[in-house]
Amino acid sequence: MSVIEAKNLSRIYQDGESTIHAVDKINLSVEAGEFTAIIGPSGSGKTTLLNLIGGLDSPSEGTVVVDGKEIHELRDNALINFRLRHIGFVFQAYNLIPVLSAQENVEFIMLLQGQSAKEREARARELLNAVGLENQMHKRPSELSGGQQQRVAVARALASKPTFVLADEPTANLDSKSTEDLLDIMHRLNKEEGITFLFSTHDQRVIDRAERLIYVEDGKIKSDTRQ
Amino acid sequence: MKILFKIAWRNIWRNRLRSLVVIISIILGIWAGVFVSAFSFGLNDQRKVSMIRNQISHLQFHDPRWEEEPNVNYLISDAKAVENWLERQKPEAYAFRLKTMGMAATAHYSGGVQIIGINPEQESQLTGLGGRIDSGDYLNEKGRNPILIGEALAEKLEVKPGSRVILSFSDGAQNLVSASFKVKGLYHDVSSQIEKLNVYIRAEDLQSLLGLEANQYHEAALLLKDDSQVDSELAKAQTAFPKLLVESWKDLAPELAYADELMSQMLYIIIGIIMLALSFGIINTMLMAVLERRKELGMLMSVGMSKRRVFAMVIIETLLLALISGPLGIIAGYLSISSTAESGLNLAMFSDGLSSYGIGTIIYPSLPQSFYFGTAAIVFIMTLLAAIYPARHALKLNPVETMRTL
Repeated sequence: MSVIEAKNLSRIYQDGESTIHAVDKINLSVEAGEFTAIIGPSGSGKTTLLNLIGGLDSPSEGTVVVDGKEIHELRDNALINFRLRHIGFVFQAYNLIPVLSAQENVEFIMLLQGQSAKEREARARELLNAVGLENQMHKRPSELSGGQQQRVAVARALASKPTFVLADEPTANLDSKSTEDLLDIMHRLNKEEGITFLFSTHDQRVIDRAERLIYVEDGKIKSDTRQ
Repeated sequence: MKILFKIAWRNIWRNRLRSLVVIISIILGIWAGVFVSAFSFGLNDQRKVSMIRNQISHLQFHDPRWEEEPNVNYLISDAKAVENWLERQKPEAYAFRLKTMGMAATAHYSGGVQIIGINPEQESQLTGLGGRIDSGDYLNEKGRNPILIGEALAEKLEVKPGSRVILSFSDGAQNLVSASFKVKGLYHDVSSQIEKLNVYIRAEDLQSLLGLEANQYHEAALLLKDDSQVDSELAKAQTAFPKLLVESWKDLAPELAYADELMSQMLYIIIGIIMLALSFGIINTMLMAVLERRKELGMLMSVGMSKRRVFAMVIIETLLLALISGPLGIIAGYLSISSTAESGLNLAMFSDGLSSYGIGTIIYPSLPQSFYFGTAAIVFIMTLLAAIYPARHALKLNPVETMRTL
């Protein structure tokens, strides 16, 4: 079953007099439970593609259907609400809320969803356990290492029980050990809980663990292989 | 909502120095505004009390025509009945007076004065005139044509106790009357204008010069034991003497009566102006906070925080700044007022300037309780208004542009 369906997706920027086709008529379908990496050189359009799929950017042409819903037809607040309930985000620079503890960061998303305090606390503990941070729950981001922060970010992304998780270069700022740990966690969550991951990366270690590789160049998909 | 307060509160302390600068500036602004207001109220109260105690008293009785034209023939009819009534009210003090305009002259100077004929003992009880004699003596039964003049006028006339002054005025038949008076003493008043204008002689002397009989007066003045009795006593007096013009101090000096109200409005405007200036500091600080956190706000919107919540978070953060500093500023103002309310602020160095406005040199700062609430409301409203611009700015942030990457 497709959870993401991009059809004829284009994003065109105007840079002075030149026109840049950051994403150029891409057709893409991601099935539930896939562990997919989008790879390609810098400036190939990976991040723009993820932004379009995540509803953070609007396409110049084409559509993105998530869980049967054409997301770019949604108005501002409805789109924000849709993202809250269907998409988990993991950012390259972690982007945790610096004034909240690890547990509060994870609970924050559920709080926006209106879940009860009891539910939030139980789920936050469960997720932080799953990413191996049960003993760091009350620490703020500044007290955690980069790898630990990214693991909190993964737990946060999963807090809302999203349809899929989008991760943009999730290991770009991590050392080898942290990268391996993070990949182990994401892989386990994918296998055991069937969570769909779609990430962009340059990292060979991530590419090696991905089950599907989509190679993007000049805004176009050049190859799409399963390994 | 609780989490928004938590984030907002912790955000304030992310940049301690910047937040403290804003908080301290608001505290100082409010403190200054509140204290200046209390000082102004004290100044106004001082002027009001001085005027009532030294000059106009709480109630005055006149012939109804006196209001139009203070003519020497417009006398209080049946002064004896008025006196009996005044006695029955058990007031703090009362006095009867005669008043006429005239000229005071010496070899050095001559000028217009208000000649007031008094019963020395009554007048001293009513206005404390007997206690305000700086040189010479107060009026008594002894001597022929004694006169009290103000120190400011004495300087102009170049007289001292024992000197002679010629008073000229018209009697009831419009004949010019002149008489020589011996300066018995020099009085002082908080108002230098009063010192220059009023001269006091015995009522019996003035009655005789005006061709009036004993017990004929132009004015009766009454000082009550309590300010709050004024309205009820006024009504009683008006009922008892329908043919007389009975007025309270509020009618006689409306500028004093309205001064409190005007003062409140003016001081609210001052507080408003202070807060307006401070609100630019608040806008600047919050705008910097929003711009610094563009990426974070973009992330919050990316992961599903609604614009309404982002807006509320910035508003709450700004209001928290005011909720910390506002009460502290008001408390600082209250403590400053409390510490000076008993002893007063001695402004002896400005006594000349103050006396020309009828104000004593010791000011007792005071502030009505409602003013504290009013100030708190102004601080809250102005901060809320100041919060809107940075909050709107946060709303306009585009998650993709702020984060560049996912």
